[in-house]
Amino acid sequence: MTRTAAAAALAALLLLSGCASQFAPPYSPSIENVQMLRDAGTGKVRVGTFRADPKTGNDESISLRGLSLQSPVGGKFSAYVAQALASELAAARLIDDKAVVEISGVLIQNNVDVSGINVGTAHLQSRVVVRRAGRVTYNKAVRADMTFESSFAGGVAVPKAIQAYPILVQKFLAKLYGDRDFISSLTR
Amino acid sequence: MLRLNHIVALGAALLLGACAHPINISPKVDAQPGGTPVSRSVAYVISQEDRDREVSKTTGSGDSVTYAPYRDLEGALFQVLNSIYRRVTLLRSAGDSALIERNGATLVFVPKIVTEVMHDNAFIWPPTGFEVKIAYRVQEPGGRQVYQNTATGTGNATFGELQANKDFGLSGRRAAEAALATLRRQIESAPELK
Repeated sequence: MTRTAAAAALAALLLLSGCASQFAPPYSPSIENVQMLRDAGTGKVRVGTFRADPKTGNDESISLRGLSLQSPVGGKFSAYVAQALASELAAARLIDDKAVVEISGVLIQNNVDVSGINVGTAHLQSRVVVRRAGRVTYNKAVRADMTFESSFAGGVAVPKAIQAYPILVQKFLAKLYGDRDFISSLTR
Repeated sequence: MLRLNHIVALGAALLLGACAHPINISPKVDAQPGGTPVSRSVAYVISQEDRDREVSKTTGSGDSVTYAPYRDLEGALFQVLNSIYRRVTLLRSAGDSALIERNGATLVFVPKIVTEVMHDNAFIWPPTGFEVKIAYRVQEPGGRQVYQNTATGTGNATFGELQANKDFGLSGRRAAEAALATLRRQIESAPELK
């Protein structure tokens, strides 16, 4: 019984203190985004390299009141965004590794902030470049911002911030697909 | 010593207690459709109200977890249907005849998702067991029902896995993946849905 109680206490404390770092949830494609892509009538594309600005891109971690939020995709948020884009293109049946059109990008800003008492904020800005057979046909910085309900209590604020990250990426991709110049650059 | 350990355990449990922890149970589904799809256009319905609905369940230590089952499974449901049919459209209302017509949908899937949380450790809050049940009916655009079934999946995660993966929705994710695998098999083997 002594051992059981000690193990239980340790387990509970580990879960409390084990919040030094946590992965963002896996990305789930936004079906509105997928339908937007599919209905745009673009040609097949492939997803190239996404990387992050080393000074501002927060590629490896985002600090949330002392917890380090990390990407479950290769440990890089740039890879998370690239995989999110690829998953929506794939669901729209538009992905082809041999396509002549390639989408790449550089994360400029990537942050979730829960320093406020009631409201959390999140920002994702990335330069997105489309190349057709090597020639640049689109080169713009795209940005998405969102706010979400937060709390003074870290036990509430931090999980809400973690849940917000994939929604931020969905909003970023919706903004990208909503840019006519981007869609035109993918169209045959 | 026994008493001290109990006090520590209780203290830790109380510290953890009274919290509602948001978790995500989005399953991982192969995004790339495989094989030749059934040459049908279908639709499925998840209302905005369902999508936004958060479920709260009590777990170990008296804490609760909150999650949005429709929001977390919406994308995976699309991917499963998209791997079977030529075209899939998400409807926010079964009566959206304009969208059904525009996409040429000949079948409309109406899912109802019910979840249960299980826990075998009274001192930690992440669920160690989960059940996801997808009860669904399939109807023609006019409303005539052609098929109904239920796909159930269960998932478990040990404390060690929860800690190692830092993924506190792991058992739910596994249950959702199992339910969707069953759903896929049911649809593929139903002649009414070809």
